Amino acid sequence: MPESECPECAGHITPRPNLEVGEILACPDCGAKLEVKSVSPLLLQKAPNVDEDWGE
Amino acid sequence: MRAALLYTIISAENKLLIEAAKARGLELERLADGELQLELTEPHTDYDAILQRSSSYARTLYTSFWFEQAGAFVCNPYRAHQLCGDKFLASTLLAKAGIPTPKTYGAFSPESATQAAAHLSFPLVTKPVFGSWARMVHKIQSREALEAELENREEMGHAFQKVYYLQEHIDKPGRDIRAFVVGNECIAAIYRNSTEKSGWITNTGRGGTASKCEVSDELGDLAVRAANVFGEGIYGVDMMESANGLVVHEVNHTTEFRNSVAPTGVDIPGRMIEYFVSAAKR
Repeated sequence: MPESECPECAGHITPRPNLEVGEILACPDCGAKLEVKSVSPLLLQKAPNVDEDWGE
Repeated sequence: MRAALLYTIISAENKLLIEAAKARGLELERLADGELQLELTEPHTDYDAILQRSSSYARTLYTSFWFEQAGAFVCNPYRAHQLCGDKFLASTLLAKAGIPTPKTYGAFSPESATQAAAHLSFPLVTKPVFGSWARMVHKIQSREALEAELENREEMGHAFQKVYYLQEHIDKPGRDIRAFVVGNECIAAIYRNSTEKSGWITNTGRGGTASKCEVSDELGDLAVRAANVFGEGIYGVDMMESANGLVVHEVNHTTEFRNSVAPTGVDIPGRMIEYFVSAAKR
C-alpha cells in the first residue's frame, strides 16, 4: 500500500491494509480526519465535517 | 442484480456490509452521495437495488426518493426514512399503532411548549425532531431549565429547531436496549449501558458500552411490531425498561451496529445483506 502525506500538516501517513475509497483516516501527527479519495495512488483530503443531520 | 451501497463516508458499518456482500458473492458497488448528479426531470438508473447507508438525513431522503422514482429497490425505502427520521411523526405513529412509547408532546412556540410541559412532570426530555447520536437530547430538571432550553432553541434560527418535542422521562436502570430487526425477525439485541463518560445518555458513540441482551419473546415481538409501523426493512429499535415494562422511544432507519456484533455473536451485517438480496429479488 503506497504511503502519503497529510494535506493538513504534511505528516507521514502509512495506510492500513484493505483501505477503501471513502474511508476516514486520522493523521497520527496532527489528528486531522482525512478522507481517502483514491487508494492507488493514495490521495487524501480533509474529511467532511459531521453535519447536524448526520446519524442513524 | 446490480446493487450499490449509497454512502457519505465508508464507516465501519459500511465496510462490514461490503465485506459481507462479497462473502455472499454480491459485488456491492460504491455510490458516494456527494458525487451524485441526479436528473430530477427524468430519473433513470442502471442499478436494480440500493442499500441506503448515507450518513446525512437530507441526502438519505432525497436519494431514496429519487432512486425509487428511477425504479430501483431501495432498502430502507423512502417512507421509512421519512417517518423514522422525524421524531414528531415517529412518536405519533408508534403510539397510534399501540406500541408502548413515552408520553410525548409537540409544540411550536416557547409558550405552548411550557404549557405542554405542565402535562409532564420534571424531569422531562427535550429532543430535536431531526437528529441522531443523542445530539441536543437534554434532560430538563425544572421549569427554569426548560425556559433556558427554549430560549436557546429560539435563537438557533433553523425552523425545525423551533419544533418542540417534549417527552416523559423514563427512569431507566442505567441502560437501554437496541434491538436489531431485519425483515420480520429480531436477530439480536444489546444493552447500551451508561458510563461516567456518557452520563445519563446511553449512546455508544457518546461513551456508552454495549453488552449482550437476550432476545426474549416479549422483546423480539415488540421490536418487530415497532419496526413494522414503518414498513418492512432493517431497523434498530431503541427501548427502555420502565416500571410498566418495555417502551419503545426510537426506531433507527440506518442503524449502526459496529459495537454489537462482538457482544451478541450475531453476524448482523451478514443477516442484513441476506435480507437485502432476498427483498430486492421479490
